[in-house]
Amino acid sequence: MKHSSDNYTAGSAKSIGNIENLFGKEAAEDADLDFDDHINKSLSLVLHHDDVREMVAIIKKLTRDRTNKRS
Amino acid sequence: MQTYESIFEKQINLPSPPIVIQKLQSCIAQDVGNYELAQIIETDQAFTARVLRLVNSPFYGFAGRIVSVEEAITMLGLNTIHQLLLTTSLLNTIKTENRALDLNKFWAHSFGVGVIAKRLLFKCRRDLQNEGFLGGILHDIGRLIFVRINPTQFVELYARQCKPIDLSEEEKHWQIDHQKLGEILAQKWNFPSSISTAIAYHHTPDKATENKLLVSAVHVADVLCHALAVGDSGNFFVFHYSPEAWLNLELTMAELETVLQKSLDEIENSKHLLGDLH
Repeated sequence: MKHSSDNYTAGSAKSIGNIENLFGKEAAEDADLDFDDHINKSLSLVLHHDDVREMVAIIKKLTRDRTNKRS
Repeated sequence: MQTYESIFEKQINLPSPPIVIQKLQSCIAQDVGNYELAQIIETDQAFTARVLRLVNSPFYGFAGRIVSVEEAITMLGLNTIHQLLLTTSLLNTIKTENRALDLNKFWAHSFGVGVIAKRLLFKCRRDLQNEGFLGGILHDIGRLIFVRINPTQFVELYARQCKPIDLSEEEKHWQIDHQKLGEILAQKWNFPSSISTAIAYHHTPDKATENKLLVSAVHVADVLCHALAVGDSGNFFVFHYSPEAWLNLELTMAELETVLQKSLDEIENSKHLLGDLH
């Protein structure tokens, strides 16, 4: 699922996680999750912590910045 | 009476360190000089090449200027060289050829946690940064042993993205969790106690009674690495976060942003170092 409000794409998770560029195509196969979905699902059990939510906000900002820089 | 650990060790046949590593460990205990230690390493071509590649990688910033093992020991210190050799040997020894776990993804995650843990320590304990890197690289080593024991069972347990697998689930399934298993292996290989503690408590940092800062750095780095989608540890979900671990690091969120920025750059610039680690 894409979020039109920002620049996250399935490729965002790949690029910030260095996955496809650094470690090969295999590592990017599960990119059917976009970055928001990935982060929400992976951290679903710990997102109630304020710190974690702040960290997630930083990571999303970094993702957006790095994706924009590359495109 | 046999201990639980010794019984388990027999069942899974934990690997032993290579001869060169064993010689090196005994020489270090005797306080032998750098020249003699370099000669021991140089008896093994693969180790020599590995030391020189590691020391000349962007990670250490010497950029191709180090040409001998003795020089590498002088520049990085014997402790660092020894730990790097121990780590790479361990990873090579237990690598597995099966398809239960994508090793490229696994090492990418481990390496990412190592880099982030190292950088999280920049403010409060720079002297622990190397240990942070090694603790991060090795934190999930117990999980790799699970794959080695029974890959089919591993896949069944960790069916990706289906449900979070916490330590108690592992214990039900394997009679031991990956933290404890990793700790046993690290002790068998004579890693420093700080590293085995980081492995033993990376999901449960609040339970650590020593090396709390190192354990905290590896714990927070692991959570961040999952969030960043750096590699894959075999378990998609983060099942625990310790606010106390974050507080121990004494970082602001602004500093964390810088840490993550630099970590991602370093991960991208260290492709060939990752290749040397497995």
